[in-house]
Amino acid sequence: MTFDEAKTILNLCPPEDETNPDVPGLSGALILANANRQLGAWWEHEKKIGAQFSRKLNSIVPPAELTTTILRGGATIFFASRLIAESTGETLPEPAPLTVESSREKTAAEKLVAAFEVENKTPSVGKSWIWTWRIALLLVVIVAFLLGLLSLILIWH
Amino acid sequence: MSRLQSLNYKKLVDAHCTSLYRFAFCLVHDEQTACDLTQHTFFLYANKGATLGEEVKIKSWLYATLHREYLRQRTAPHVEAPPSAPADAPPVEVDVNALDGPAVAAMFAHMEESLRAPLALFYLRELNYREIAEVFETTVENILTRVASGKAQLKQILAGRAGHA
Repeated sequence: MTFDEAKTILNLCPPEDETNPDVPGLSGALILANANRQLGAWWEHEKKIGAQFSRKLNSIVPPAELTTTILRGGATIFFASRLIAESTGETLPEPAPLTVESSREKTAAEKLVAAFEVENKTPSVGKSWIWTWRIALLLVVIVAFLLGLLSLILIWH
Repeated sequence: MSRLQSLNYKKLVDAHCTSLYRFAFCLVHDEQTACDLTQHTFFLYANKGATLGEEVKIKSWLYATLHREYLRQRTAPHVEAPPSAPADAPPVEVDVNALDGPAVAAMFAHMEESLRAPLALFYLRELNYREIAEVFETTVENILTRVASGKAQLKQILAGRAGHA
């Protein structure tokens, strides 16, 4: 492998990914770059520029409201699709659970999704049972009071 | 809406919204248009997400859809005269760190259309070469060639920029 060939190969190595399997001859070119000072210096410089480009592009931040808008828009589309399907008697295909790869922005986005879920949360099953028991107990007390009152009236007469 | 459908959608938006926006920004270099492209891509997914099939293909599908939508919405070829240096000019030391993200993305606007999108995906590092090839429905070898040409063109633009500064 000549120096020019090694440079061409190293040029295709993605930033901070020196084990990329899709670049043919990458390991050989890296060995050559480690062995030769001139090629090594060139490669260090190229790596630095590539990493800077990558960092700069990955520092672009979307407007804060973009995720919320997309989530709300999606919810509207799902709701409309369900209404249309119900009115036409059509069965919508049920998707499989999705495993999404981790992302650098996950923590911030997770917070937003959690806030969105809290906003749209319905009362839980446990809470509704507590209320049912309370109402039932109140009804028992009222019935007992009325029966007692009726007994007193009957005794009086 | 089905809870599972909603959960899938939220997971997907959570994982890919920011990176899709960055890709869109590299293509159009305009915040509003990049937002529109990102939103439209997710709304298209919401419409047909359940029928897409394999989970692993969804990421490539999102990027491919955004790129297709960008090409469809583009009214005319957007070619600006790049402030590039001659190809045989000596290498110029350029401090990329001195530029901000949008300024770096703006340099992509001067690039050839066929090189801009693959090179943006190369630097964004969200997709590997195989996935980038899927996005453009081509081979890995073709993407390698485009990345090499794109990097050479970007260097010329950088050198031109340094020469003007």
